[in-house]
Amino acid sequence: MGIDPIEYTPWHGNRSGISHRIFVVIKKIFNTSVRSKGVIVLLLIGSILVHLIPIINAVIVPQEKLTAEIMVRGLPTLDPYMRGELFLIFSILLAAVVTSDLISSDYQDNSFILYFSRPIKPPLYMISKLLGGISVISMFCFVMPMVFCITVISTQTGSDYWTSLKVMGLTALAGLLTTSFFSVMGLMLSSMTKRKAYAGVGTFVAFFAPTLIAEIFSEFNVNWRLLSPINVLHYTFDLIYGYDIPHNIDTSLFFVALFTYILLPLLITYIVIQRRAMGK
Amino acid sequence: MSGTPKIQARDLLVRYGDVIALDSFTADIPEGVVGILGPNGAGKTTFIKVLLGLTEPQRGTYVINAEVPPSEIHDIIGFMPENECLKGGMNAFEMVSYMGSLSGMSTIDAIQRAHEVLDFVDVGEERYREISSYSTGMKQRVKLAQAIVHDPEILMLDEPTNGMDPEGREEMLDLIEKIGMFGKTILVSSHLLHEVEQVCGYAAIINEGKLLRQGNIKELLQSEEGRYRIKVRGSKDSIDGFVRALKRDHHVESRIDESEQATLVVKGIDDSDELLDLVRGSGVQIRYYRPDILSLEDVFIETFEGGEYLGD
Repeated sequence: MGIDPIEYTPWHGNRSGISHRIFVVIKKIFNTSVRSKGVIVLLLIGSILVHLIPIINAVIVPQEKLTAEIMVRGLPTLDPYMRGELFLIFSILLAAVVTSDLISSDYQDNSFILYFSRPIKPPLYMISKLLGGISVISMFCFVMPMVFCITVISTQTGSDYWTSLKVMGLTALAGLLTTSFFSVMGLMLSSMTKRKAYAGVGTFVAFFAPTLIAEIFSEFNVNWRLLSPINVLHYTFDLIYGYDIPHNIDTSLFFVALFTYILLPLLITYIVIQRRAMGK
Repeated sequence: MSGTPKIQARDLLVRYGDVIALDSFTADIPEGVVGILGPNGAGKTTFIKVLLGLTEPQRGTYVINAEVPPSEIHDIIGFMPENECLKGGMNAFEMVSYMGSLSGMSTIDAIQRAHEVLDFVDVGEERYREISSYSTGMKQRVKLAQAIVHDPEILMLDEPTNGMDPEGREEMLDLIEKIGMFGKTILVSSHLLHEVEQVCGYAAIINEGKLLRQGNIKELLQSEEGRYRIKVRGSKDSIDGFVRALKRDHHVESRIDESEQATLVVKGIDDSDELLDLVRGSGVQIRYYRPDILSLEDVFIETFEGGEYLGD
């Protein structure tokens, strides 16, 4: 204690509401992530390979308008933007790196008890963490596709801006869906372990292992393809951009798979948090 | 206890499988610094966790400051856990201001307040160093800082001096005492009795999930009016005779014999004259005769041994 110890002083400010507290968590996750070398490297390399090259391409070879074809089917001079393999791989890698310590680190250092001893209930905690992860992953899966769309539209040779803007809107939807799709899975795996590495590897495996199994078993029944979250995501892109999903895929099974891949991880995450933190 | 209790627990039951952590636990916690005493596994931490909403009791109710709406209760609570809980990859200032923001403080307030409380707990320039490099004592100070950053009305400190050196302990107790001066309710869970005795005005003794005893510390220590410690000298027969005479009207709680001497703890002596009358005819000499002063440790031990003078 110093020679002249400082006394305790009360605080007389006003407390903010729930939304501010959610924002605080999101901001912390965002700031921490964008300072992480792993995230910076992934964002940089991924953006150059996945986004910058098509953007430069669009500037050098202007399109007549922005079409759904450009986004999911591709052109002779342009790979399918949203369905490109690199887009997928980097999205998953980024999700694995960003979400891996969202919850696991709170278990690791036991700090989750500090959240729950404050006016933060498990649902709020989960939503805050999810939105924090989304805020980072969306830079790659949402913001950059938007930049691509804006580039194509601003350099387009035709005058059908309405169609281009419509496709841009659909791309925003597809980008948000992709971000959420990867974030919820990563968050679930992060909630299941104290080890960041396990959560990261788990996220990567959670996407590729079912895809491998789906490829093997789809020889017997094509609906096995729905076991793969990647295939489900691709079919969702098809639907968003106005294409049909392959006719031999059961549509109702597809929707079940889509909701399962989004809602089930959230439900599991919630249950795990509730059990770990609240002992229920 | 004066006024309405700040925390009221009624008939709480908490089980972890076959283990009963709280068993029909009923307590009234008043304002001020309150010690929750008990050996490891007594149910102290479980009680705090119930109050924090981290453990749901299978039975019973509790009320924390009846004047505050239940939805806002967590805003007025600060918690310092026993275990490590500080976030890795942050420095103390970031951690404390982050916790302030999570408690509903604006960013500016949280920053300013984090500096204030870190100054208060005497974490200087080290506040900009990563927490993982701190000593145990420093971590305890930061844990306290994050618990008080939002100026809670009710503070729950679970073994606050855990792992600290004697000097650090004294300083921590001093900090708790200072915070307590601001009309707060501070629950100090501890098994270190002299610490509780030093800072707490009220104590609750828990064991096996049950409240054994609670009360004002002064009352706990002074509750045995008429309890005296007497040392007498004489032959064994004369001492036996003296003790028999004493037992007719008083309660002889203990007797320790040494060669031709015995130390007695006697209850119910209201007047020293009656004792002297007994001595006169018994053939023993009094070596000393004084009120038996209790420490909290005595109270604690006697409570656990089921000593009748402490039973509620």
